[in-house]
Amino acid sequence: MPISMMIAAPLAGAVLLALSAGRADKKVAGVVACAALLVSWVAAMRASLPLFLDAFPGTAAATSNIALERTAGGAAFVSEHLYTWFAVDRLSVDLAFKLDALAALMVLVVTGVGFLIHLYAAAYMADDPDYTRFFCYMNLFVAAMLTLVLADNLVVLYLGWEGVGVCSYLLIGFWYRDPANGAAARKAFIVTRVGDAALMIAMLLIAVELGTLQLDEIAARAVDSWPLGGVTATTVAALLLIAALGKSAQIPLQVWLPDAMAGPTPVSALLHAATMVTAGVYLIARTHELFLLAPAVLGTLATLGGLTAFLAACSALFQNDIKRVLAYSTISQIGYMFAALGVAGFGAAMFHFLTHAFFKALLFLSAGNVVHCIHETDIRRMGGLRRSRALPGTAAVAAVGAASLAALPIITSGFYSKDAILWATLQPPFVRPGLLLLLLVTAALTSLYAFRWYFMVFSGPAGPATEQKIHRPRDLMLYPLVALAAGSLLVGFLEMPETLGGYQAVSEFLHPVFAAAEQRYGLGAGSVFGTIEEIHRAEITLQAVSAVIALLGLMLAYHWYVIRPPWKERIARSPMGTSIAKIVAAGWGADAMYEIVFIAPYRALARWLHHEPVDDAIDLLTGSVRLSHYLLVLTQSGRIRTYAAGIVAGVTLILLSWLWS
Amino acid sequence: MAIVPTSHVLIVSALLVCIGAFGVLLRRNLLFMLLSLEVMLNGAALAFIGASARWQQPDGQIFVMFIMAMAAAEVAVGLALFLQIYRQLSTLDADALDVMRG
Repeated sequence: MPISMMIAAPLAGAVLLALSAGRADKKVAGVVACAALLVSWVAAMRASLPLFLDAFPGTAAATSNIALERTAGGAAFVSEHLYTWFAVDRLSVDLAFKLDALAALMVLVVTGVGFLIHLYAAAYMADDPDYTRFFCYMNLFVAAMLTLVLADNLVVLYLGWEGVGVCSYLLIGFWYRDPANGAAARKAFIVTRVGDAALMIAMLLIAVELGTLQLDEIAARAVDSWPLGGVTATTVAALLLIAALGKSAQIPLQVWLPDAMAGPTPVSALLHAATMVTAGVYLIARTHELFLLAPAVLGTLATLGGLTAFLAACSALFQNDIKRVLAYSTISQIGYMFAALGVAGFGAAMFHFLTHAFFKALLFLSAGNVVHCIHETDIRRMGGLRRSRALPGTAAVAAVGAASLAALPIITSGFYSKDAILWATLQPPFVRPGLLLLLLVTAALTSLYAFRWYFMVFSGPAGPATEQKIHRPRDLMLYPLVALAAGSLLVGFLEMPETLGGYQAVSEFLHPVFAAAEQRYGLGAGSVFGTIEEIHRAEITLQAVSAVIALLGLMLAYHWYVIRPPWKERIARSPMGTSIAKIVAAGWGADAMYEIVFIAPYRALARWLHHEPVDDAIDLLTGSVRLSHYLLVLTQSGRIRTYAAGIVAGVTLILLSWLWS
Repeated sequence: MAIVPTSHVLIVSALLVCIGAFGVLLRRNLLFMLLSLEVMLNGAALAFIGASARWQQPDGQIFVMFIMAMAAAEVAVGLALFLQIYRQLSTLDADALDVMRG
């Protein structure tokens, strides 16, 4: 019951708001939407409680009356079977939900962060005439994401997967009166559809090959019947990878996310932090057994993740839109998670998802406050907002968010999660020093663009947009930010590296989910560094390096964007500087590439088809008939003498041929 | 009684058919075309008579009877048609009667 409650609450909220058809009072609509999320959050905590008690016995005095089940591998989970959806031959698909540690982490973030974003949106959207419609979509979005996360089989997962796709389309195109927003929504929907199609094919392939779609059964049967690196395993894993790439906006399907900024800011926050883009990470973590059976795909995953992290970080550095910087940073941070998944660092990836949800929601909502108060999105026209009397709170929490994104050492959660990912790249059996190097360079860039963003908006001299009188944001637009800021600072302490106390709550909590795979493939067993002391020395060196890199990024950002040395401006204004910036800012020309490779040929084809080439073939037939008609008409002169001449000529010819033969 | 060789009969017959055919093709008046047609029929009838005499068989002569009967019927129908045509169109020029052209 608590599991379906989690989904039912936001779903009921969405239905209620949809049925009110805009007649509901704004206050009522806001309360309904937020209450639905609150109920969902409480249900999530209630359902996850036995899992916590199981993972950390004796740490809490609470008890739970929810029955706990165990998989063959010993992982605890709570399940709920509603009814059998359909059963065909051997294949039976149930509408069933399952909450294990991985799902628990996800639903707590989705409902918790989602609730805070809803609270914020209740104030942010207060002036919008389509308030009810907005919250209807938002509730539906959360319900779809929860369905995806809690699904016990691939079909239900697919239901949620498509659900978030539709809701993201509806919300990105929320202000549909501007055609540009509609175009952005369609782009998001179509690009993610590429991944959806791959997921569908993977699902059918699994159903045919393994005869089941239940997630645990898939893993068990795949391990039993598919050889390591076999063709089927590789195909299925590759298809799942494409699905995840589409949903999580990774190279080569990253192009939709920067344009998704067309939606209202709370939508961006929800999309980037809690729902939608993390679905790909979740899918891979959920089907990790299949990926481990296909080392080639796993390697591709790591490479693509690292590459995306780096390239998107470069692009983020050259953005001038306050939200586009954050959009590219999301692509980059999800790239980190993908890299971690690619080296089988599932715990590290999920931990980074957790911290990222907090600081990315925080950053987006801070940006929302800024845009709401000064009605400007170009950060070159901002500056000095820290000193403004209207936005001191926003400036403070934005600093926390930027610091967490930049992974400033010790105090921020981003430091711990990023460090966990960096460390995962050195764990056998997937040791990838090249990836580590790439991620370290990216870390420097991350710190640089995060603080560029902060300094250009909140520090330095006031820009044209920030000189005028700025009105204060509503109080309700600040409280959720404080909660998120606290999360951004504190969540990191859930997972301390060995050298800093070694208290690893998240990994320990998630451990049972991945335990079977870890044992089978010897993940995390042994180390390239030999003895415990050497391991610790290596780990602390890595931490020191990443800390220094983050601080260097901060200092460089301060030097470049607050002090603004003349030589830097000269380079930026030089023809080469501007052209490089233009290319990188356009996401390395990915859109232009798609334009040439797919869109232009498709348009040409459409133009050609517009003239009905099939009709041309038919017209050829009718044309030839018509032509022969005209030729035959010439013979029908109606003159009797002509006909007689024809008869005589024919008879003469016959007689002559008869004579000569 | 001098016997006319069959080849002479056939040559005359062929000449009659050709004269008739040219008459049909070159004349524009329907009446003259009908006359030419009769000449052609006579050419054919002559060939039958010659062949009948050559093989001493009655078949050819019987056929000539048929041809004569048919020619009479044809003239009757043809003249009736011409009368109607002339009433309706006030001409017997074959080239002017091309209302059936496609």
